[in-house]
Amino acid sequence: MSNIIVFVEHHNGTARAASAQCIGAALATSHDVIAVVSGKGAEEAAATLGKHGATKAVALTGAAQHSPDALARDIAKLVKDNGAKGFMAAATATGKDIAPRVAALLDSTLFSDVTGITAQGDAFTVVRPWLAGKAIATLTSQAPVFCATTRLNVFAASGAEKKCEVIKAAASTDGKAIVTSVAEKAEEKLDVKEAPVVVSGGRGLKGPENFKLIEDLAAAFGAAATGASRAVVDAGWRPHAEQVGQTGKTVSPQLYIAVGISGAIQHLAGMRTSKVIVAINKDAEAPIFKVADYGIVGDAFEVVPALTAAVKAAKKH
Amino acid sequence: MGGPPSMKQHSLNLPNIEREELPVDVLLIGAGAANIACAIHLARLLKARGIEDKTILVLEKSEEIGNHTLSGAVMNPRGMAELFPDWRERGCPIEGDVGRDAMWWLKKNGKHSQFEGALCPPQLKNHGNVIVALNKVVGWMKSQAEELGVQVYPGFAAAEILFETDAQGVEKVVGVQTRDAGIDKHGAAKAGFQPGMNVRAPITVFGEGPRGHLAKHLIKRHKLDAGKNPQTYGTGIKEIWEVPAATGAEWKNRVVHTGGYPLGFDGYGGSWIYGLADNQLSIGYVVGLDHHDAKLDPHALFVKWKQHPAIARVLEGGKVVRYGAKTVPEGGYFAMPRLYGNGYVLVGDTAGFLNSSTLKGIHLSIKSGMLAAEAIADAIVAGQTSAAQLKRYEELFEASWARDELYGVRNWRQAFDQGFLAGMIDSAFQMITGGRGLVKRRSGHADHTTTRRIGESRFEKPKFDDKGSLDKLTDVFHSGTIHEEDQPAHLLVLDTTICVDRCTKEFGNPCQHFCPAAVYEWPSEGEPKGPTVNFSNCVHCKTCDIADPYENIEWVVPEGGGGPKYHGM
Amino acid sequence: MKIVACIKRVPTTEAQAKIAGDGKSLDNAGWQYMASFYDEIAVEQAILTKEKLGGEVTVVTLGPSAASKEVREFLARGADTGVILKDDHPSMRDPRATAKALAAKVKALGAEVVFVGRVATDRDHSAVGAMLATYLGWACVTEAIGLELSAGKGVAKRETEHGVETVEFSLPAVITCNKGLNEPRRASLKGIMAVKSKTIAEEAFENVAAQVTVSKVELPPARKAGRIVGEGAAAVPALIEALRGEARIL
Repeated sequence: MSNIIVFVEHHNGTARAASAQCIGAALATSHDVIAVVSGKGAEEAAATLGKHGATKAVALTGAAQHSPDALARDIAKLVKDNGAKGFMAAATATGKDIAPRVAALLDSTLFSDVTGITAQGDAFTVVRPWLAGKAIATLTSQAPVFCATTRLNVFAASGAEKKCEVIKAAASTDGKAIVTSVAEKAEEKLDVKEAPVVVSGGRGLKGPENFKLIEDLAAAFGAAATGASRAVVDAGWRPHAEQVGQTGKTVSPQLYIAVGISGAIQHLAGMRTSKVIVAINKDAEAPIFKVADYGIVGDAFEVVPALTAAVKAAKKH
Repeated sequence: MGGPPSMKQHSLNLPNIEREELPVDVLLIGAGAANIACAIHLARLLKARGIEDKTILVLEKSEEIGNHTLSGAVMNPRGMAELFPDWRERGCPIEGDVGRDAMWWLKKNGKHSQFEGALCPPQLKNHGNVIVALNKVVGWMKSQAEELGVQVYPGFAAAEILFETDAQGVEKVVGVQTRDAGIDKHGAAKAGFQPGMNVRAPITVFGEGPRGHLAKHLIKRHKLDAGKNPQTYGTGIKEIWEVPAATGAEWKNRVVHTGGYPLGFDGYGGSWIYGLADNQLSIGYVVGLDHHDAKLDPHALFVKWKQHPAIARVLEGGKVVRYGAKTVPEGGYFAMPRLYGNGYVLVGDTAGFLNSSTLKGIHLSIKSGMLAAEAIADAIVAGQTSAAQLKRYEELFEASWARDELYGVRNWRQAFDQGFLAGMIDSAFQMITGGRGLVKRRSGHADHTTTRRIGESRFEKPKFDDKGSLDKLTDVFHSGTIHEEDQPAHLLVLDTTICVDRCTKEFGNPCQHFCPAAVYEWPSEGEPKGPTVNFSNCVHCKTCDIADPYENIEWVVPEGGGGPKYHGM
Repeated sequence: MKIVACIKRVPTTEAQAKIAGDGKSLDNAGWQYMASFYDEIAVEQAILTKEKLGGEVTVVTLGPSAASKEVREFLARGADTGVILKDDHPSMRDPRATAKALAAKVKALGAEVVFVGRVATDRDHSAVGAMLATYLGWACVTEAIGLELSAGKGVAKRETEHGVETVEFSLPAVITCNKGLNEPRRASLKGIMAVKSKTIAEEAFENVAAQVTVSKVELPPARKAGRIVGEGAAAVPALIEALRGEARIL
């Protein structure tokens, strides 16, 4: 069976979920996966990748600092040395930084942020959004090496553990650009555009002081951001950075929870591409229920605290 | 900027900013049909006189030429044919020649009567006219103007008029100051702040459309309306629909106007359905803003009209693709302001060039621009732009067919002040007396004075759905309206204590009803301190500026580029 | 310093997707266009760099002649020259082909730094900048939110999921620009008038065949009809169940 090289990101030796999903996507095309990890803790991370279905894991070690261009060269070389048919990475900030460089070194184009991949032998076909998801294109690759980044939270990680050979290799150190420091985020406040879960509040909350309810629910989910309708941003209850809608931010998280938002079309335009939409509103006729997958008709002040408690409990399991 | 305190210009521009100066020869404010026609004709007249070094500059507040242009529209081609005798060959975009033509009277019980051929009222006959999207027409006119060397710049709003007073104490208009860009919602300059410029010109042409905010100030300041009737307006609501092919084919080139339901005899108004190309219909409703009901809601009337079985049948299976609203100056000949002053002229809707019996104004606007161009060309040759010199524009108008047409229906709209039935009778007399009717000259009322107390309101909202009866916010979405959000509201509620202390009790805060873009909301809980102003919804129709019973709302220009996008409207 | 900003003409955000008759492309009738949002930041950074370090800014785009409108807008803001690599079928171009065409032009211009938007908001690849740098053999920082340039080198900041990275790099370099890097200026009326009649040079470029074939383009599937799971706080368990069981969230 031919191979796909997957660049795996890790945090202190633990592979990131997005990378495990990317391996899952590669395995689903009936190729073996050779994982590449770099940076501090690369060897520990490599040792865990059999669990995600990799048959080989290459740990690039010896570079004191991360250099994207040096890393891309190392990966491209591994692709060539292993005769791999494909190269994939998760569409994270780092994945999106590395993948185009690897693709160019392989003189292959890149399919970014794909939401589907199939292969017939070594002929790869991908599905990816155009125009921010207004259209969905199915594209066939004629590139010498198939290169792609996978959208987060779309593909399932593989549950089938494989016997994985771990190899240590020396990382290049001649980068033209070097990451000299990383300032850990001061607060875990995710931007509404990036967060996998967005909890938004509207005028149904009656006042800025009640947004604590929204923040608490977001905190219960963990990686979540708070959003707001235009009405409450205009009223000065919330900062403009949180505004979701036609004239604010367009978001498409895994889960969007609208609390006390009636669902004016300007708002809907900014969130209707969310994967799952939950609406909580007192008014059963509110337009938001038309786009919601799940709705609760009820008072936010009663429903939200109950939901926060339930999410906390569910997260524990 | 100058003048006595009561003559203060409302503007959101920052004070005490050093501004660049830009001298031009002729400055036109607004790129609508009147001003572009004026610029085209002027460029040609000057060229014919061997003058080729004059800069003719047109400023337009919308992002693209035509974005803020909305009309029905059935165009009487007379104006366009005068501007360009070969207008069709040149490629002026039209949707079609008017074919079948009818008037429907909609009854409350869901039935309707059709008046076609000889029975169709003469003012609503449209043989020889063309169906157009004025948005496309002005876009085409703009390219014709540019070929003649006219400079047309969208995205630049004029915020203030620049005045100068000479040694004799005579005040003249010397240009405009464009709107500052990059002011935040608290009124402070942001990064990337771009101060407006002082654009100076010996002659400024105001063609800002109905209720131009600079012209409004000018008319008051220089008493251009002395001895005239107050201007009276209607608000027109329009949608473009995509309909099934069978309906599209049936309606192509058809023109229908309706009266009756839902307004009945309570006010002045009516509707249209025009068949466009590509299975599209232009539909709309106009209602006079002198309607007495404090809850008058033009958008709601439009929705009720769409729900009448006769109309619902036409729209069945279709969907809305565009929405818009704009006011229409209906006052006619006696409500037109003086057309000139020291250093300026007024053209088009701004000056009331509209035949209110046919609700047609494009041809008159074009004509007004051409007449102004002739007077300006003479002024440039004479080397002077005083009121005495520019009076030539009004003289040319008085000798033109445009005057004959407007004078012929001079009492039309005012006749309806006494109610629709009285209006119908008088207008019938007008038709046989050359426009005089029962009275030689009818006076009128300013629209803001006609609202009756909230207790007398009988107006009820319709039921909305997500098919044909769209609610306001959904419709606003279809207008493509967008404004930079971090800027001060451009709708100035001058004294919110009036809203709270008087208006709530007396009129029930009509701003929340009459605005066709849901800009104003009256808080339903707590102790409101004034209306919530969702300025970014504003479609620049000016209804609020006209209809507020206390004249407490002042519409000023937002940052250039903001507003609706009336593609194909 | 020779500075280049690469821009792309893209449909405005309100453009409606309508599948063309061939089922493999979008019907662009009625679309309006603009420069991609992030490219505005790229041009602004180019102009700021010129203002600080001196030099000359060239705006380069791969696109149709109509892109002269967007290029001219940037000239009005302070860029010095504009070039259109004339491409009547930009929708057929893949990131590799685009990067190769730009690389040849950047080389010919003798540029020392190139700014591009972090992503073009039509095909959303977020790939051309880093590919361009790789073909040139230059340093590259993607998605920069901060930048300091000095003679021969620079320091940039970029935001990732785990924090803000500080990146040191040597020139020449390609920087892809993210929101937050700067606040793009507007053109003044005078600036626009000054460039009104400037013709934008159009050049041919080496046409590299795409490595992508479109098999089909579809509209996204309509949402499945939702349901009300219940009323009040009592409905919370049913909601949690639905999120877990059906939606597989939580």
